[in-house]
Amino acid sequence: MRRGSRIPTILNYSFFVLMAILMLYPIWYVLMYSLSDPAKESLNNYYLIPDGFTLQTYLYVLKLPHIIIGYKNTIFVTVAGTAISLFLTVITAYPFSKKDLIGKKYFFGMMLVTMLFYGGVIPTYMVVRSLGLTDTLWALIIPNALSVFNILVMVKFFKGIPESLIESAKIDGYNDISILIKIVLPLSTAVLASIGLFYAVGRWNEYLSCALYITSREKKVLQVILRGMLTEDSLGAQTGQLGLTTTPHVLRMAAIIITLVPILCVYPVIQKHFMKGLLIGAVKG
Amino acid sequence: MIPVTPRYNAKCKNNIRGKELLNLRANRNNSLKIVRRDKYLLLLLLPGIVYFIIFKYLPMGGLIIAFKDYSIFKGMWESPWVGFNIFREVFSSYDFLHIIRNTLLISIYKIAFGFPIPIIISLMLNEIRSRHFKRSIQTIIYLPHFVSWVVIYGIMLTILSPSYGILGDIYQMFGKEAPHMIANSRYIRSLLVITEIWKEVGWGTILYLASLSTVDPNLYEAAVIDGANKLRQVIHITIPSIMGVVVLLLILRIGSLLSAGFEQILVIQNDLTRPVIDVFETFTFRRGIELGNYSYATAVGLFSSVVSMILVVSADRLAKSVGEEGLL
Amino acid sequence: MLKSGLKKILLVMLVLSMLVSLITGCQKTTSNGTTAATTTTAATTTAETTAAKPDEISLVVTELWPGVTYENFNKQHIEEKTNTKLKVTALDASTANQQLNVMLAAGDRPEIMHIGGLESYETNYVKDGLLLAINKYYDKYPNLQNRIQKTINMSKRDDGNVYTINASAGQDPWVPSYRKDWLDKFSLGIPQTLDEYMIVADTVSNKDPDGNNQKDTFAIGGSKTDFRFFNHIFAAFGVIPYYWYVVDGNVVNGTIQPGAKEALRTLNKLYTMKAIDPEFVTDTSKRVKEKYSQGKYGAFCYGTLCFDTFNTYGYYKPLHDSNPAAVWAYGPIPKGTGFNEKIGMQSLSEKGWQRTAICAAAKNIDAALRVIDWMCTDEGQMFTNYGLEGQHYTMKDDVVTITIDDAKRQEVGVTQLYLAQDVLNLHYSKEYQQAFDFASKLLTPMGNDGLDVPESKYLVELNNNSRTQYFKIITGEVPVDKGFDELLAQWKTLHGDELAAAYNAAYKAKNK
Repeated sequence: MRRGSRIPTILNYSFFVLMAILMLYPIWYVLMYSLSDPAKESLNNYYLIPDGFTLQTYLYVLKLPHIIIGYKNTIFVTVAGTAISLFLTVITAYPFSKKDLIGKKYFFGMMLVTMLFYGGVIPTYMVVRSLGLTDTLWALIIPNALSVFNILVMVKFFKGIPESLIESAKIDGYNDISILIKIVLPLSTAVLASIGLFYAVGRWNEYLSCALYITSREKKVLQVILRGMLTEDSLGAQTGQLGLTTTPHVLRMAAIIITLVPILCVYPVIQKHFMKGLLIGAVKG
Repeated sequence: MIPVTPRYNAKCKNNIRGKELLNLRANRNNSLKIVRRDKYLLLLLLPGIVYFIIFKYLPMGGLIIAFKDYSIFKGMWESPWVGFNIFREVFSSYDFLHIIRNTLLISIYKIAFGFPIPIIISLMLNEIRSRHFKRSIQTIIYLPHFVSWVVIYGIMLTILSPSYGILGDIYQMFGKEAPHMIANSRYIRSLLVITEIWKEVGWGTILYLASLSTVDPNLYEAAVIDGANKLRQVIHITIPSIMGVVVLLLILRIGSLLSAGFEQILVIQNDLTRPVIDVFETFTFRRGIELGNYSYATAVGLFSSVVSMILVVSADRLAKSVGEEGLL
Repeated sequence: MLKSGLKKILLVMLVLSMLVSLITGCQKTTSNGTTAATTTTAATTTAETTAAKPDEISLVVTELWPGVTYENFNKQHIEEKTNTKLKVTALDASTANQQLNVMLAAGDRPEIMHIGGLESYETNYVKDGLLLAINKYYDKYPNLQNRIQKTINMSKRDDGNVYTINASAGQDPWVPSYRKDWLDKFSLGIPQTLDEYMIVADTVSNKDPDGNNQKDTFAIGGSKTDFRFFNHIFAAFGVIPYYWYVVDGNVVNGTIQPGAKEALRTLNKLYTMKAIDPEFVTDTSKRVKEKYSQGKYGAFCYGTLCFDTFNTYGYYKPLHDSNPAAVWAYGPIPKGTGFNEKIGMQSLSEKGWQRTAICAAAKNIDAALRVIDWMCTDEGQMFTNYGLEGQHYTMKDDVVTITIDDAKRQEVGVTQLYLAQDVLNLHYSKEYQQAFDFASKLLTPMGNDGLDVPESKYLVELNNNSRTQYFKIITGEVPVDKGFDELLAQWKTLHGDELAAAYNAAYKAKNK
């Protein structure tokens, strides 16, 4: 295996320990703040430990009307949305990774244009509405199912798979779809995990499209419900009518933690797949 | 159709027009052959294309309101046509050039400092051998990505407050007064860059780490056998392996040059710093969306898209001219 | 191999077709704006005998309490009283405007809707003929007329019609306020003139009034979103900054008046003598509240809620808990050169930050008017503010005591449907009422209330620029005289004069 001298290694490790502390501080601050007594909150506090430990904020949030429904909807949108998006991304990216696909330039140009030009909120809303998707959870999944950025990244990774493997499969009589499923995908777990993560996090945090398309209370998503309890963002507070009302910041903190925890639980599972995408023995075979 | 027989072909060979016809026919046959060869690929492409047509191209008709005096009641088609008037209005705003200058300055700062750092971090992290350490660090450094700018502003106030923050305390130890950084036009741009790096560098390493994990360890073994030291390994194996992703991300980042950090700036700006950190997106938000002026917002968006397109294509060509793979 | 390839294709097509069928299948569920399953049968049973079938109308309102249902006692009671059935669609506050526009663009015409924010929104809708002219129905609905009469000058548009009603009317006056206990400690009285104020400011900032040997108190603090903290200094010179008001029949903006220059000079002096918290540029209003509660500020303009001993919205208790000896008192505007009794503090628009309107093309206009008319009656007002007497509150000698807690209030839905609410303060403490009455006398009405001219698109930039230049002058970044001249030049470049001319023309036309 690779060997390196000791000093750079120690420097490397210590650098990351330092970096981890710096990165951890904002989340630690948020966590400690969320566990603190709302009556004592202050911007003077560094929140290294909770100031008046209490779980009342979390209890309050978990007792919000429709919080359970919010969770349910968000989980559905995230799982279904990620699956659909990942599926569509894979089948769209794979053809582009082929050097001599017929009409590749035109397809690519067409895709690039959609990434750069946006028709506008109202026209998109009209399209979604004419498909009957307004006020359904599918409006949060289908209209933003494909991200050109993610497709381009996946294409890059697909291209990294050795031609020789694909050639030999072709010779053995496999068609493109079989190759995709039997050879390319198993070797692409790293990019699948990454893009899957991007889509999943995007869905989990989705706020704007829910606010735009959904009017029924039972279809609202977690982020909308959480943000709603922050009256500082409300119309009244913004326009000064309720200018003197301020919600405890702790609510904002609790909302961040509640949003974050499920992602933290899922990420380690995904991390394993970063390691798996290795061409073990493939070239030799 | 004229029957194609070997005798006919032979006859045509000596005839120029015949040669052309032969070529055309050959091309058509070739194209059909290629389509048949790629039939599964095209099939795979189909759902994506349908998606783009329905959800991207159909609404694109809405761009037309950039040339109209859009009224919701009259709708897109009935609203009166005003041609380039709105664009003229945008460009002749007294502060338009100023806004562009701010946007470019901040964006270029962010790319120059913010783009390389995740790459360097990824390379360094790649050298860590302890799997558990590596995984924990990975998880920790991407956490700030999930903290909203509103909260980060609160943390900034806590740390940088001249009267109560850490910064204030440090200066007081030397008997001096801390500068009010968040309100200072001279420091604010650096603050924007630093806080954004702080927030996003961890998240930015995900793709690079994924890329690094696909490198065949046999390559490293072979290099060691050939006598290459760590530095040469990194230069000749590691870096080329992520070059494709780096170039792709760089091109796309350059394409969004006019995006300098909308949410961040909206939260952090104040009346003393606004002149230097007011950017394209905040300008559009104030003039277009907040006033309900959709024509204005769309016109500005259209301008921004055209600029992005030019930047992306140019960056792509540039990359290809130095031998790198471009976007595709 | 070929066969397996074919299988894959079939699998792909199967999945695709499943997706498509799922999408189309979901069309059967709601299209837009339905509420949860209603159980409001109870409301209609009592009114059976001669009642016509209740009219169904749809309302698009801005959500007051996110996630809280509208199917509650509040809605039922309104439906009972007006013989209607209300279909409520509540829009999320932060995107309400966009969402409403999008729904209107797609052809929805709700009977009642909330229009928020700027005058230009109302103008756009009126221009497109979307809104109903309410004044045409005064004979049938006299309560509407009564309520609008109070603000008729503002509400009437150029064509003489009234299209919106203030959905939630009430002023939120601020008033010069002082730490009386600090003043007493140094034998100072509440300042009546500017000179007296300067002495007070210096004392509370630099003479260590809280006795902790630290320079941690100021006279004035501010936030980056609300700009009324300095208003008493400007009012001392007879101007109101960032504000249009009427002087001798003309609409002027206080930002560029000569009095403003002197006010800035004074503020700069205060800043130099460290009487102003330098963090006023970056603090949020939450931060200011915190600092005030910690006892950092001693002589500035702040809200009247600070005087409410019932601690509504939490302004009274925190200060008195952390400083039991603290006494917060209000005072008049300190008189300076050019002080004008008629020019004091900013007030909020009489037309409202949130307005209620009726779609002209809606199906059931009569029912909509009926609902709003009822809400304008005394009974309706009391109900909207407090609920039902005996059940949700008790009243004695004009003082209301709310008998249910906040959770129950939300469950019942008190104030949730605010369509034409006059925000009543009968449930606040006497001290608040006194402060409120005092502060209300200091208010100067908006000069451009209800005036919409094309030039008002310059408003935001004018205000932004004014504030930037002001702050530069106050903090000493640029000298007062030079800075003020620059401001006047900027005012011209940013079309300030054109805006003033337009407002004046519109004002005079309205008040012939």
